[in-house]
This record gives sequence, C-alpha cells and structure tokens, in this order.
Amino acid sequence: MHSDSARIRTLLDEEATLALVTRLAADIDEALPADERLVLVGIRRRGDSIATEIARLLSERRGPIPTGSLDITLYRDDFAQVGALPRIGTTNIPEDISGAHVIIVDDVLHTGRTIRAALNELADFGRARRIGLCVLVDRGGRQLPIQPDYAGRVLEVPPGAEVSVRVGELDGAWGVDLVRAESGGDGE
Amino acid sequence: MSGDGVGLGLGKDLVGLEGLERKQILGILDTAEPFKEISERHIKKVPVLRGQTIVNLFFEPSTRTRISFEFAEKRLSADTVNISSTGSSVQKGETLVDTARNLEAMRINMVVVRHRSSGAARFLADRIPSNVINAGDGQHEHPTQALLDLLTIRDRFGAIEGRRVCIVGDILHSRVARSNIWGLLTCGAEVAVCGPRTLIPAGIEELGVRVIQRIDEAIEWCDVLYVLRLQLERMKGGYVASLREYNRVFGVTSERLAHAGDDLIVLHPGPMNRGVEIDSDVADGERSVILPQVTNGVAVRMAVLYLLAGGQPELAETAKGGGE
Repeated sequence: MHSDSARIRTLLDEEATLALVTRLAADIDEALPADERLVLVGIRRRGDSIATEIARLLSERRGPIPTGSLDITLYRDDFAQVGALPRIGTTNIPEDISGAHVIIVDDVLHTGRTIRAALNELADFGRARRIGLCVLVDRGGRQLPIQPDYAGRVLEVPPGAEVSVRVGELDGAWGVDLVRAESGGDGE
Repeated sequence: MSGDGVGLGLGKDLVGLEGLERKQILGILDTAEPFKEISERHIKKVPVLRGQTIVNLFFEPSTRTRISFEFAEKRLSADTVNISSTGSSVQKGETLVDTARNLEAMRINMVVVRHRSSGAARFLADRIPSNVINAGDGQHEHPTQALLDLLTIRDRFGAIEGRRVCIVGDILHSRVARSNIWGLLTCGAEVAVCGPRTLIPAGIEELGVRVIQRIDEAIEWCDVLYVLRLQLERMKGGYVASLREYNRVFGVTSERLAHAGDDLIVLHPGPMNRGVEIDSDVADGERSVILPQVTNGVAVRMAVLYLLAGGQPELAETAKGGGE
C-alpha cells in the first residue's frame, strides 16, 4: 500500500471500484456454464480480497465458491536480487484443484511476472483443468506472454507512475489510485 | 505480520542465540510460520533456494538434526551433500578448515556444521565466505534446536514472554540448555534449571536463571518442563551415581506431573532415554509436545536457511575478503 504522499490522483472512487468488481463477477458468470467446478485463487495481499468479493457475488447465483489465497514470494524470479527479504505470507488453497477451473485474481496486471510465479505455484497443488486470469486493472507493460481473461479496466500509465488498488478489508475503503513509482524496478 | 521487508540483520551466519535481539529471534519464528504450511502440501517443495548448494558437515553422529536440516533444504529446492566423519577424509585427519576449503573450491553456498568442539562453528564461519549454520558445537550452542523449542512454546501459549520454563537435567554439558537459556531470557521468559548439583554450572544465577533443587518444586513452579537427555557417558565421569538413582530423583513421571498446573507442557530435544529422564507415559501423554517439536524443527530450519541465503550479500563479500 502506498503512502498518501505518493498519490498523484484518484482514478476510481469506492463506488466505481466496486462496480468494476461486480462487472468482473458478471463476466465470469456469463462466460462459464452453471455447473462448472470453479475455484477462485487471489494473490496476496489485495488479489485475495478481490477474489473474496467476487466469490460472494457469484455465490448468489452459483452457491458457495471455494476461494483461496496464494503468496508467491517463494516463487519469485528475483530472489537473488532483492536486498531486504520480502516477508512471506501463508498460502491457503481450500481444496484439491485437480480437474477444477481455477481463476487467478489479482489487483493490477503489469509485467506478468507475478502471474508466472502464481502459475508455477498452482501447478504444485494439482493439475487444474483450466486456469484463467482475472484482474481489476490491466496497466500494460508486459514482459512475459501473459494476458487476462477478465479485466475490469485497461489503463495507460505515464512514465514514473504506478497503479495502486485499495481494498476495504486492508485499506478501509475501495479505490484505484495513480501513484508515483517507488523505484526503477520492474514491478510485479 | 506487517511490513514488506524482513530486515532482521542476522548477518552471514547463525552460530548461536547469544547476542541476538528479541526482534531477531521473534522475526525468525514469524518467518517459520508460513513454512509450516509447505510441509502439509501434497508437493512439499518451493523453488526459492533452487541452484544453492548446501553441505551438511557432521563431525559428530546425528540422526534427527541432520534429517531435519536435509528435509528443510530439499523442501526449499536446494542441492544437498551430506558428509559425516566416518568414511570421509575427516577420519584421515583432515582439519575442519581444510575440509571446508575443499568444499568451497567446489563452489558451495552454505555449510551446516556439527562438531564436538565448542567454538567450531564460529571458527569456520570466520574463515569461509559461505553461510554457516551451527547444528551443535561441543557444549556451546545448538541454536536451531532452541528456535524450534521457542516456536513450540509460542504455538501453545501464544507468547513466550512471561512464561516459566524449567530445564531439567545435565545443564553443565548441554548446548541445548545453553541456547535455550539465551533464547528464553531474550524473549522475556522466566528460566529455571533443575538437576544434580554436579551438573549445574556455577554462577548460573548471575544470568538471571533460578536454580530449583527438587523436581517436584520445579513442576509446581513452571509452565514448560524442558527435559534434557541424560548423556549416558556422564556415568563414566562420575557425575551421576546410576540411571536408576537419576530416575528416582529427577525422572519426570506421571505421578509427579499429577501436581502440575493444567497447562504444563513437556518438551524433550530427543532422542529420549525412556525410563531414565522421562517415563514413557509422560513422553506419549497429553502434556507432551515432543512430536510437534520435531515438526516445527523443519519449519524453523527452512526459515533460517531462507533468511541467511537471501540475507546480506555485502557481509558475505566482507568475509571473502577478510579470510585469514
């Protein structure tokens, strides 16, 4: 989460952000047959809040949707380069994903490296029948051949800036901000 | 769990718990938490130490510590080599440093070392650029054992601070006791020791450790009873009259524990001498957390390996330049 001082401007307020989440849930519901065995997996620490919200919306029509969270720290490709170690969170996959249609949920899609790590980690939990990708914001700048199946909003981001998502559970309110980039790193 | 960086400042090596700060010790325990889950997975492996080579250099026999380290290393995807004193050049009289330098020449990254001499781990750490983890050196320290004990106590009570821990047995010769005393005191526990007078180090009270004479009194006082293994060679040294006598005076039995508080737990670093320092019905009973200790051992060692491997490359550089 960025500090308030890093914020350049707010792109989407709470209402608009939640409307995006609602639309993503509707897109998923529309795209998949009603009897599809669906598992949502959110990438910590904001993707899992979005996944929980989408699962809540989907459950109104489809019954309970198993939802898990993935911490990709131990699957990053820059372990040898990071100075201070990232703190590791706990991964929690609720059930055997073998044969299920898994949808990875994240807040911002940028280089694609986080998703690459998530795909590798998921493979260690079983052979999903299909894996899809759902992101709140696609801000471009891919460094790997990875594209979303469901994207809430596609944004162009000026140099030196990043997109930062706030979620109710962690940040008090939902929103999407344009913030100053912290470093010249290749982001997540 | 907050913040994105684990700036624990552990340095290149883990030689002992003496001198570590509370936030460093608790930081290692916090790092161990997510590693517990990996051992519960169907595929018990994450790629974080892929390509790192780790040598387990055991100059003293060990089964469970070596296996625990090896599981931890393999679950982090490191490549491992085990060297034990029997059947290697060590037996032919090669020195510790020569052995280590030869390993260095094969481009290794970390050494886990156990040695009969106190100070061996520090000696090695100061002379090679690889990370060194002490898996027990003489009567000095066994830091990962104490860390897994601390984690087990924290799991049960929620916190270490304020808990009363009594270590029972041969305190004088025990590296497990020494590491635990440092770790427990640093984390704010009250620590006592109980055992034959000949096996309690003189002046231990000056560390802030209380000495309890009778095992029954210790059981009444503490929340955590830490039963040490009685090294059978102590008989020869004349420190203890006989095993039967030891069991009669200091043995932890269910009759004695009948007077304990409801929450009291029993730890033992293994391997146990059943019927000597601990009776079977205690070891296998409800108060025993001996098997959770073993499970936590793997998670704690994964955390230490992770923290040192990703730690501070600049310190490793210094060590490379500063060798003798």
